[in-house]
Amino acid sequence: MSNVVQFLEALARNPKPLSLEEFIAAVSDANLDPVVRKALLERDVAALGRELDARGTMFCMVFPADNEEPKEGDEQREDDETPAQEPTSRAA
Amino acid sequence: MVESAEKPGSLACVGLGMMLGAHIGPRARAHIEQADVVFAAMSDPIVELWLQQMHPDVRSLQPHYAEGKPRHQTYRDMVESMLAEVRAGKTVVGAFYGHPGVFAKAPHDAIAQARREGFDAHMEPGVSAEDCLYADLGIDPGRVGCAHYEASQFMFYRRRLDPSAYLVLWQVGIAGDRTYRRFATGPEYRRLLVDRLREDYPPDHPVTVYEAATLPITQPRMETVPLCDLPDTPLHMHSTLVVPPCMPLQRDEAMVARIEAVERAEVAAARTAPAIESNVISATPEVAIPEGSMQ
Repeated sequence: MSNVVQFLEALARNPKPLSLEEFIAAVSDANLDPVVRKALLERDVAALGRELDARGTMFCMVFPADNEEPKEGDEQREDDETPAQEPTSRAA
Repeated sequence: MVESAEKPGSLACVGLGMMLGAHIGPRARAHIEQADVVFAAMSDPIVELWLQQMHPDVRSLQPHYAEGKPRHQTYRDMVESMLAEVRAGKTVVGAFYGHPGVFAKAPHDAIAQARREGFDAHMEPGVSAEDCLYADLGIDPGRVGCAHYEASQFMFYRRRLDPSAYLVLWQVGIAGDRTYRRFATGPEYRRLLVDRLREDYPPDHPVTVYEAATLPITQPRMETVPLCDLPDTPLHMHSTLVVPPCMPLQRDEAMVARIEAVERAEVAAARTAPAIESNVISATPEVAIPEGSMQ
């Protein structure tokens, strides 16, 4: 796992965008697992995450609209009205 | 032999930026490397793996989120997780994606609480999604102004909107949620948001859904749609809505006239005031310079 993460970090630190040929060459030279290599070449982030056993769903809301929390009664009423909503996860 | 005092705990909340490896600053990295324990709130699972390689004790704050759990409780739990280790005498780092102080409640709360309890606490800025937005979309917030609001807060409260400036709405994927337990709201809520925006913008006004790139193998999402199509546009927890101006800047003639009056008064005062600096050059040599004024 550390190899591909280090590869991604090295890629990110290089400000010069790689051509497609350069990117393919860099991935090929990186000594990576074939499944990981395929995910990188296809830029399949979901597959890459699965292969790395990364967390399946990431929550990234760290800010509430209101500093005031809903009152207990309001929460219960809103619970009754709240339809089931599936989070849109970043990683499939 | 003098015994060393027990080391007091401390807290630093740092930002890792948005993209794995690209945005982390040297101070944020040093904070992480020097910490006893690192708490992590990342937006991308592979970025979380990258952080885990930087330190042997990285504890994700993700488990504090849960379906149906009020987010205010989640943020309190995040704060308490970090403070518990600070109280135990640890050098604690809270590593957050982007900038830890931009649209992020838990870092501010944790720092405030740590300081109230007498601990050193510091926030290290990071490259936020806002910064990436400006770079990717080619927007200078200084050109015509730019207002930022949390999308639901924008809906709950009346704001004085300036349609000659940029408007950026954050967490638009949960626009209108009053329960703080959802991680997405649907088209009906977004229609209400569009109705609100339609008070100032035409229905075909181009708006951009923006999502910063978090890996170097991905591109940012910069999807422009007519405002009226927003309800049916897929949105995520990390989506941001950028609404460009729909009118040019409106000149305030009354204020400009008042500024001109101040300028005229300054010029008049300069003409009548005695020259007191030796570098004041007279345009007419025959003008008498008051005695003593050249000292």
